[in-house]
Amino acid sequence: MAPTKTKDTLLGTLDLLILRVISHEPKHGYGIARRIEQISDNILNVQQGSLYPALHRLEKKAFIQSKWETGDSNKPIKMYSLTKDGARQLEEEIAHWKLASAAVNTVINEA
Amino acid sequence: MSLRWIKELGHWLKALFHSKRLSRELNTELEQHLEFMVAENIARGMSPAEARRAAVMKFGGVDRYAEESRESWGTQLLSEVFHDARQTLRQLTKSPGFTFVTVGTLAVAIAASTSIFSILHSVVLQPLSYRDSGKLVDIRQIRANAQNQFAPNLATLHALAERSNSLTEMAGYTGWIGNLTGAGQPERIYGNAVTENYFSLLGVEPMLGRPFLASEYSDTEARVMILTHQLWVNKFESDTDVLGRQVNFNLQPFTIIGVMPPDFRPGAGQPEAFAPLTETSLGRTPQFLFRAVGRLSPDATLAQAVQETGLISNSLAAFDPGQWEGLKISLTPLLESEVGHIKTTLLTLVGAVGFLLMVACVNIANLMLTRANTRQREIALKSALGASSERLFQQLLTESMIIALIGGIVGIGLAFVGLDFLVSLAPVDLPRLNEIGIHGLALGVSAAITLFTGIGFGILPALQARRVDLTEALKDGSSGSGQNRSSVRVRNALVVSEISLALILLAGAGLLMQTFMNLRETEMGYDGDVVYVDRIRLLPQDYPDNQSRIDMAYRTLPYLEQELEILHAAFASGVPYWGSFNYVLQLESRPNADPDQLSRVRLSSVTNDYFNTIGNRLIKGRYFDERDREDTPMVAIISEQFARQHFPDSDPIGERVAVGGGDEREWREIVGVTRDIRWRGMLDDPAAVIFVPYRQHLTGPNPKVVVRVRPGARNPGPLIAKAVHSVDGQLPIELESVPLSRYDSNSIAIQRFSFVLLTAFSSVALLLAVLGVYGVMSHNVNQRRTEIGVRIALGAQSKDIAGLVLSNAARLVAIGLVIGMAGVLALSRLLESMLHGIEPHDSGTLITVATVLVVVTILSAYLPTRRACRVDPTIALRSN
Repeated sequence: MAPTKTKDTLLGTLDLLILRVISHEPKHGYGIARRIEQISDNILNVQQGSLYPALHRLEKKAFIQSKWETGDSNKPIKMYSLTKDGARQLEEEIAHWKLASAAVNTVINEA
Repeated sequence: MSLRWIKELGHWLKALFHSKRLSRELNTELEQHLEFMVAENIARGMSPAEARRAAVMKFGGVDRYAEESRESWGTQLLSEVFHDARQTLRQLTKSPGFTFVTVGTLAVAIAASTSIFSILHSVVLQPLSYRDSGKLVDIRQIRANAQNQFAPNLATLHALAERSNSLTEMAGYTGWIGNLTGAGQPERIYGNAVTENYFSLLGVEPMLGRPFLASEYSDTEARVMILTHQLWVNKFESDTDVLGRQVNFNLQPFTIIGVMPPDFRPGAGQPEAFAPLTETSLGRTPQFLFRAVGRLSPDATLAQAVQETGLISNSLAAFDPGQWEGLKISLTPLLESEVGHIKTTLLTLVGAVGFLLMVACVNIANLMLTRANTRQREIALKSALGASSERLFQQLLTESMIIALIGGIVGIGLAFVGLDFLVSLAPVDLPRLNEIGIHGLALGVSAAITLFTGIGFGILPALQARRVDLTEALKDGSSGSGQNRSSVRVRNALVVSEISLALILLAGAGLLMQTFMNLRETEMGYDGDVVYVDRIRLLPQDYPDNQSRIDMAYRTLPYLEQELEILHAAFASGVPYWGSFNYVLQLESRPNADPDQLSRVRLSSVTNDYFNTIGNRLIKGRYFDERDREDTPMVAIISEQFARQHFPDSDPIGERVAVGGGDEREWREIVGVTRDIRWRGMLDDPAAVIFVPYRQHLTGPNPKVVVRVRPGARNPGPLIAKAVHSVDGQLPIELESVPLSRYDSNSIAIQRFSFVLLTAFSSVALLLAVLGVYGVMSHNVNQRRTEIGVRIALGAQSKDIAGLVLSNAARLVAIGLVIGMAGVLALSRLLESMLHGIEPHDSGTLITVATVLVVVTILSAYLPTRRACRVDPTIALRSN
């Protein structure tokens, strides 16, 4: 299915959030979604429909890498961690986000 | 960064080749996610069943995420293409008619373009097969005010070679022609006597044996020869022991020291053997060259070399005005000088075949559109079921690419066959004929053409499919084809462009056909169909002086004349296509006559019956007869062109002309003027010729026997041989065995080639245009069945309905005609250099081809019109 416009705009921040959340330790998909929801006090709600395509896209771009590990219930579970390129990308995206959000705030406040 | 790129590629490849495993892993991952949600719900206090239901509801279908994730792998496109390709192939086998017409049309067009481009590439574009051949130049000299260029003579070449820096080396050759004996049947050999550096300059070496040595140029007793591969195969049966063998050439013993490789076939003349350019080989002092070649030094450009040779010849003119005054050296890249004359023709044919290809594409696009229209329901259904418009676009494009691909493969296969056929049609003197083949570049071009045509004719239907109006298409159930206005317009535009392209091709073919017809009717000044020429060679041992040669001729003639098949016979030193001589001429009453024009007058000494034999009629004065003997006043007959050039406003009869210079000068009285005669083919201007009686001139060792046979008679070669051998049983004869008219038709072989091909191309284009008009009219009639039914029900007569359909067709043809005419007027100028006796905008030709096009295309609308007239209103109205 063709991506829609609204999803496109969300995707940018979702990538940033994913990279940020796994920057300390590897996490599985569910863990990433839950972590984002927890930290943002459930304001940011990650849809599974966006999460997995985003993970695979990031993996394809080699910003993250995945590894199958054995989880608590002895079932294999896929863990995602940040690559060097990913760390660099994260820095860039954070810088860009700060700039952009500051600009948006300025417009909101002063226009 | 590049490392990441590699990682990305690795990932993509993994996704492509391990898609099954990746899908499995993805499912596992998504199920895990679901499990976590279930576990969380249970932790919140739900029952396991409730927890699972709530989680699934929140999660939605697993499949959809799987699909989207897979899309992010980027392999989706490829697997979809595979899927579409399979589906296309299935559909194509289901509609064999459509498949045959589209693939066939494309295959023919691609075969034609591939083979024509292959010829262009092999002949004109590909460098000559010599070492660094781009640096080779053809050296010619041109006298001020003269039009003809000749190779410089040996002295000039030496003088240039000594002084030039921009040309590192110069070489040349002259004809080395004689009888080869001592190896099977005696045979006449046309060889080249070459300068010492000739082979090394070209960068070629014998395949067997060695090149000529310096000593073989200085030693006056060295008689050696090198064979071409052709002669070695034909005459010596590829015998590798041929080296060191002795054969006789003009009765002199020559040793064979080498055999050239098969691909060494230097340009004009196609020599059979080579000898050193020495007095010993030639039997005379080397002086004139047939051809001279130079090699530009690595850092010199052609322009520098031209400038330098200009300076050299100017400075030499001060020392030796006789040789160098007014002499210009012209340098032409060797490739250009060998193939320049056919370049325009081949480029024109490539252009024409391009038009044909366009017509073919337009036609296929039209067919695809028709199909897309009838498939609109299928497409609408697919998109109603959720296929995205990108996906449909992609599918239709895949379809057209598949058709293009099959057409391309079949076309390239056909091209291999077609090329042989084209080569068999090609003019005999087409240079580099043996090098013609389908090479990498031509194949690459065909592949590119295939690709572009696939996109070209696929894009329109695909674009149309994107705009399918779902509700309209699905609603209209009766014909399964929700015809919309824009589709009609597109199809009309395609037909119009087909008609205009066809008109352009037809006009080109018409002009070339007219040119060919004009050339066929060229007044040659002789009766080519019944005149045969053979050359005999009188050996100096047996015929040492002029008198013995003249006697030989007059002893042979009675034997020829007694044959029933032979009506007239003559001996001549010069005959059209068989050469002539140039002498210094002087006109008594015109001391200021243009010396260059005079120097190009051809001289032929002829026996009395020559004019009746060849069929060159007298316009004034008298023929030669028994009065004109060695001891009577010297006379001459001139051709009309000679008279026109030098006696434009007076009667040349009685004027006196001197033939030869210095001591050999002899004054003759002009006693007759004959009709214009062409010497070198139908494209040649009438020649200025002076004829002198055979008995009143020094005659050479190679007289030509000319006979006129009864119309329909067999080749008189054996009769000539019998007559000559009745006089001298040992005399070798060259039996050509073809009438002069054969040479005439060979002289316009290039024109015939281009006219035949262009006619073929334009016929195919016309056929496609007819199909196009037919198709679009049939379609329109089908679409308008209801409307026509209503009209008939309301009382419209057959002629009203016919008028309705025909006016529709006529409008398309008229628009196509106008656009095509504009194209013709713009493009036919390019043909100008190929036309003869006709203007590129010749109104007669243009009106004729336009009429043909109009009649044929309107006729093609006949069937659809008839069908429209027979529409049964009750059925047509009920069906909706």
